[in-house]
Amino acid sequence: MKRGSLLSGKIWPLHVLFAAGVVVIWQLLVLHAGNEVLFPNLDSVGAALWDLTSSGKLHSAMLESLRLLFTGFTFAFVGAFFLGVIMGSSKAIGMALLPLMSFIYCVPLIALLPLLLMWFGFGFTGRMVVVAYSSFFPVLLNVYAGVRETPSDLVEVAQSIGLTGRLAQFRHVVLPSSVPFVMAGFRLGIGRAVVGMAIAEVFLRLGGIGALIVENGARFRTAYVIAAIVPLPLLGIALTKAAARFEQRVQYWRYTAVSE
Amino acid sequence: MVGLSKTFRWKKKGVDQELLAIDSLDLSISKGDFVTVIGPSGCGKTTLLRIVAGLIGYDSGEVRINGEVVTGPGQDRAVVFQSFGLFPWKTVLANTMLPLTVRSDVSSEEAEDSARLNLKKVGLSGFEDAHPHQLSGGMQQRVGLARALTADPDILLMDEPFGSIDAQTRLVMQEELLRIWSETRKTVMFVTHDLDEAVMLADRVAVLSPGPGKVQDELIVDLPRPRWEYDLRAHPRFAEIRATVWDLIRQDTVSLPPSAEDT
Ligand SMILES: Nc1ncnc2c1ncn2[C@@H]1O[C@H](COP(=O)(O)OP(=O)(O)OP(=O)(O)O)[C@@H](O)[C@H]1O
Ligand SMILES: [Mg+2]
Repeated sequence: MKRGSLLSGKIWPLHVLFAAGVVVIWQLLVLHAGNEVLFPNLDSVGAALWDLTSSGKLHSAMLESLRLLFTGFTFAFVGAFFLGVIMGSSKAIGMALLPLMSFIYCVPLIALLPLLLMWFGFGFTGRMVVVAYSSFFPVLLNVYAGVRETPSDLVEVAQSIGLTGRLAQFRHVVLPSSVPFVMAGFRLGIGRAVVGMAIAEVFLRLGGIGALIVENGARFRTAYVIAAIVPLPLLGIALTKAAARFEQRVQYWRYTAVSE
Repeated sequence: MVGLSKTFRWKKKGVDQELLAIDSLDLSISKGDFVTVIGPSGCGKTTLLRIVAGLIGYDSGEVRINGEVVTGPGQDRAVVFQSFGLFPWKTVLANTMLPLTVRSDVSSEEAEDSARLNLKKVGLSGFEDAHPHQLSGGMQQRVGLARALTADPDILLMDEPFGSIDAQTRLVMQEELLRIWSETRKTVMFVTHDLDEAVMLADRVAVLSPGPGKVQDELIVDLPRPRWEYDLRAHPRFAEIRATVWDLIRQDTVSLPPSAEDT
């Protein structure tokens, strides 16, 4: 009975419990180290967070970061979508480009930074390219898979009712059937875009949240560093969650059965 | 169709593979006829239907409809697919309407009316707004049938359309199909591996030999119509025809050459 009620009940008490555990362990470390630079007391982190928020620094840094994130990701998503559709629709192009794409996908972003820097500079363009690069491939590979995996029996159905043109088949079968893949690409891509954004802001010209982190780090204001880091994963989670929500809505034909 | 052959060719680990699915098959169906094609699993029934539907090509022979060689799908034919072939993101109604939705000469009101009517005919009124995954297999198959009827073709190509419907519903559906057919006089090519069904529905039963598909024999079913007005199974002629078809099928199975692995 007890077990059942715990599992079937709301999940948030568990989250709270877990968070409390992390806080306790952290505070133990603080006590043990006794060093504000290594392990700042949560009090000071809270104070730093308050300072950053009330001074508007966090706000403006966040805005700057978000602008970078969304421009970069939009370019990546649109580009990857079209390339994925082309690669998925033509076997020859797909086969020709896939090895190259897999190759670039496997190059660590950090290793590419010097090159991207030289080609695109420190400015907004350069940073945007870093964000776009880091989110491009999850979208591309998912869209590609979605288009490749169009159910062939549904293509036959479409043909049999007179949708013989490639374009008509694309609209009626290929596109709708790849929606789940496209959404998965969106979700994965946006998570990676957040990582790319942080890297771009730290390693290219300082800006946004990245600048907050680096500047405070250089002055050993660890509490401020932590206060500036916390919004990043929160942002990532929030965006991924929002994407997953949207994904469920678009795939209602799969989910309604479960929720009823 | 005359002397029809189809060989599937594909590559496996770089080696060319081929499989003769249909071997010089001859079959002719007159306008308004109800022909059932019966044969064991894998004998090429679906392949034959896909060829007639114009979904795949063939290697030799000829398929003609009203004298014209089939080169692709057409509005004169509609298919009820063995695997239903419903679009999971569309509602039942939208699925049923689709053959008309894609046509520019039919208004969407007309399309919807026709779809609703046909859904009613197959007993699915009230499920218009459901999505296919919310229906049972048998119900999905009936949506497939309603969709083919909505296309209003001259020729209905049906691939085991009652294969996943329970026995009672199947009887109702068979009767309903016979009614629809007697009203509309469409030409029907109906694939099945159910002996009773093959005999019950047809004007003529074509028995296919186990792969490669070939018409082994054809039988005229001279049972009086309309057949829903009497107990068909109790009719002595039904038993006779059924026994003859069964003999043909059994001969095939027994005379099957031993496969390579056995020798
Ligand atoms: N696309 C394909 N590529 C290669 N072989 C195929 C293909 N489609 C069918 N075949 C082969 O052709 C033969 C006939 O298949 P078909 O689907 O027409 O059988 P069927 O009579 O409809 O069987 P069932 O009653 O199980 O539906 C089978 O041996 C099958 O393996
Ligand atoms: Mg079949």
